[in-house]
Amino acid sequence: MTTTTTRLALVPRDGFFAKDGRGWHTSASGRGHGLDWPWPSTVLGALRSLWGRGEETRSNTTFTPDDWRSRTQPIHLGRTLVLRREHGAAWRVEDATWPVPLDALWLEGRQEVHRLDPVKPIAPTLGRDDDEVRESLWRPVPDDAQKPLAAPRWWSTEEFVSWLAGKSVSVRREALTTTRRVQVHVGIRPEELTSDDGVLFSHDVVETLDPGGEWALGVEVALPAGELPKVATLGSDSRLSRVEPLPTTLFDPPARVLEAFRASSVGLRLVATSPISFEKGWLPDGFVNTNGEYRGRLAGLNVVLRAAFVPRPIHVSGWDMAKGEPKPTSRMVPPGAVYFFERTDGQPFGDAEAKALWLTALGTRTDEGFGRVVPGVWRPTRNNP
Amino acid sequence: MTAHLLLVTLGPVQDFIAQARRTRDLWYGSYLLSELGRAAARALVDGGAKLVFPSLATGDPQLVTCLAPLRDDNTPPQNIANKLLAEVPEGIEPQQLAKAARKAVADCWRDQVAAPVKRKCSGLLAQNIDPVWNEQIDSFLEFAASWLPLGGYAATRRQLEQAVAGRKLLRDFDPWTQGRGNVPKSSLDGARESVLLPPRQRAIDNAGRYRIADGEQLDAVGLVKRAGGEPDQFVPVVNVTLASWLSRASQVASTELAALETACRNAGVSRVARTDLPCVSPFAFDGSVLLQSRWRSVFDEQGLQGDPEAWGRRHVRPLFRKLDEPYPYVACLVADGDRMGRAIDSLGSADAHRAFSKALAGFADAARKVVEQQHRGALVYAGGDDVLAFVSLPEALACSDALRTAFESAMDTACGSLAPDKRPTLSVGLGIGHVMESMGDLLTLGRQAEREAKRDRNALAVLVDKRSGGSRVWHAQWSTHPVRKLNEAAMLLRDRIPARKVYEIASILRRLPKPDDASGDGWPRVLALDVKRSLSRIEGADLRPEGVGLSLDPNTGYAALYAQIEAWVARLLIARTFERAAIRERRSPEGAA
Repeated sequence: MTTTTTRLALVPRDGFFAKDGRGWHTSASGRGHGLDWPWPSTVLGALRSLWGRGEETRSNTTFTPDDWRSRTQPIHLGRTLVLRREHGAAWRVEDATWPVPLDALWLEGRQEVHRLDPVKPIAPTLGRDDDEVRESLWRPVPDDAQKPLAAPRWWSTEEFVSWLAGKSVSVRREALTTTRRVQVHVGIRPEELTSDDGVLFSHDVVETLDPGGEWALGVEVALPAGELPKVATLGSDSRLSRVEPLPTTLFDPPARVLEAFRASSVGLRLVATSPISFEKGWLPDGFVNTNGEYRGRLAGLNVVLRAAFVPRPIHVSGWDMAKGEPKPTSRMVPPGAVYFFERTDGQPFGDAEAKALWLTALGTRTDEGFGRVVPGVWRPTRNNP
Repeated sequence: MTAHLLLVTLGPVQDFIAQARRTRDLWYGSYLLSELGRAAARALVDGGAKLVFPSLATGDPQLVTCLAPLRDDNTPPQNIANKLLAEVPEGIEPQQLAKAARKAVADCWRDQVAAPVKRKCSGLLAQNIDPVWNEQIDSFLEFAASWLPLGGYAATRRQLEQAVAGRKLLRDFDPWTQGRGNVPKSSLDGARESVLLPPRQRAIDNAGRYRIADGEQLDAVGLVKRAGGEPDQFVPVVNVTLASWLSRASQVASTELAALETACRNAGVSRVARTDLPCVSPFAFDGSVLLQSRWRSVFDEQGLQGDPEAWGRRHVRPLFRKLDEPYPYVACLVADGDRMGRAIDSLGSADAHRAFSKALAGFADAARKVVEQQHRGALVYAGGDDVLAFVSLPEALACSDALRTAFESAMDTACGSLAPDKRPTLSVGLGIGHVMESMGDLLTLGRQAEREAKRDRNALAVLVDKRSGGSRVWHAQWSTHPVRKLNEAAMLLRDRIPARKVYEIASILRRLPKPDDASGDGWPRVLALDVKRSLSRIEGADLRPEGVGLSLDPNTGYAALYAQIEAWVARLLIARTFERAAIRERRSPEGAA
């Protein structure tokens, strides 16, 4: 079946509830816990349902579970974006929103976000097992003894692009954030017909509409022919999302990032913008110990991995609607993780590599939307430990 | 070889502790990390190192493993933090010592903690589970260590902190390779696959003993937390919630309470063994039976015979003729020292740091007394400057204040050389939630409240999360006497002003423009008059603003007036929770339900 790449925005009208791997028995009364943003696989599920429902309507048939599996199989999710716009406005490049990278640090009393730059280790370390190559990776040396403040979850395109281009970013007064609330469902005492505080159950809802604007999911998806319904359902309780076309330009690499690379960048920082599934967990696929360094290839170049800032893994599972069973769990690198590279030939990275790496996919399960990264400049500091 | 300073950290901490549905999950998770820290400390001392933090020397009884809540002498074991600092004398290779500590921790976790649980829970485990079990257990622990030649103590320690902080930016992990596939995930965190049999195939005695509900799923780590101790050694959070109420009941309704205990004994309701704790002593059974909405669940979960409603009406209701029904909300107390890093940075030698460590250990002992003995709470963890506890609402404010005082006293000892305004202070968060929320969710509330307190530091914050929806938070520095203010506000609500009037004034604020959006000079007068008018309409009270703690002077400006009233509303709405939790005796049996 031939497919066409389509760019869409799913604009939730009533928030969303993307349940995490826990069931409902997390409290005595039943409580569903949700993610702060849906996994790409959840979004892909929503798109398969969207196209499938349109197809059912067109053909005036009802798909069996096998039909759902086979007919929606060709639908693949490509690049994804987190979007936020002002009410009533058309979608613009500036409306993309990005996970704050782990190399950005908020410190008390600072007007600018502190940039963590890795250098050669200042002291030997030991980890959970013996891996000398991993222990010799570069790390930052925090220059301040104070505990960092909590980082915001999202950055605007302006802030994120400045960061990738190696420029400073000012600390905002108010963070870009969605609102999470607990939706409570009431139980009724049959004998008295009054609410029973003991049998309430509840689940998280992430609100995507606020007085300042609205959040949406930007997707690039390969779809078979056929007109799509105007409304999709998203997440664990099938909340409604409007379907809107999206301009291609939103997915293009920003000129400021390309300019920064054109001015030469000896190092490269890659920021994960969606969860990444690597075969060896945290280590990028294809990178192996070569003479005491992790070496591999990126954008056609031989590179050495200098540093990796990776938080604890996220656990991605889900529910297979067609099979009616839980999916296996994958441990993935979270969005916001940052990897630092240098070329083995000592040459700088250029705008061609930056363009090739913009929202490219690394790792496995990339047809489900996982593995997206973006490049930023990095000027390695040579210290003398 | 020169002497070295060695820093070891263990994990995971915060997330691991928070993954809890029942009291035992939370308590055992916290206890477990402490025992693993003890194993590391023991290995370091056995290898010839001199511990700085915790300050335990060779032969110290606190280095001995403790696999129960109390040692043989009936004292609780000292909590060991997840960060250990040690001096490594000349001639000892620090890397080998770090590896020995890592092995000791891994062996303790796998062989002493996890393996016995696997054996005793074999009737719950799925077939051929060994590969999954081993992978989940073996991948659980995090370990990081760094060492440097011991030059200037303060500079070396700081370099090690930086090295480990930098190293921990990479939380390296392996992928799962032994999954079972399409099986449910853990109910505690959703991360690892369940290792349990389907509900109907589970051994009933095991499932009942460890309170594993039919719909509940546990991975290997979660099962170790649930079944790692003896079930009746944990105090259910509902008993802590009702501790003050039960204490009063034991005074004013002793006959009814004794009758209920007999009924519980006859019916086979779960017992609580820790009768040494004041929160348990008035009633040593699962306190859930005192909540009408839980009667059916208690009978189902504990496999009791008979009609739960009839049993409750017969044995529990008589108590409600003497006391109003208990308010089913509990406080999760999370306290943490402020500017501890700055104080430790000022310590110029290992001996000074040891003295500081000892003073902190003294605070932990004091915290246990404050929470458990003086305020009928249950302590989950007290180590270093951290305290995690559950306290009933009638005790929560006083308990917070007493902890603050104890910490000040400990810092007077530990940092006597520092000016009083440079010494660390204590921020306390009280997260208040419904007793039926999971322990993990209650802990989240406590931590959110603690973060609010940390905004200003040296402060108390109270966050109330109502089950019917919505949460409120209020915080104030200790210097402004927040406990006294909240108590006064609760009395105001009890005696002089109905809660709906506070909501009415909150509504006035919402209707008027925010100070940044207000143009023109008339707004302060409009606001003051509206609030005065609202107060004057309280039937029979004849309230003036000054009488409820408001000074409605329009000349102070709109922004100041607005902020004053907003703070007043926030304080009263938080105080309302404490007022509702006040224990009320019933004067007339006829008035009871």
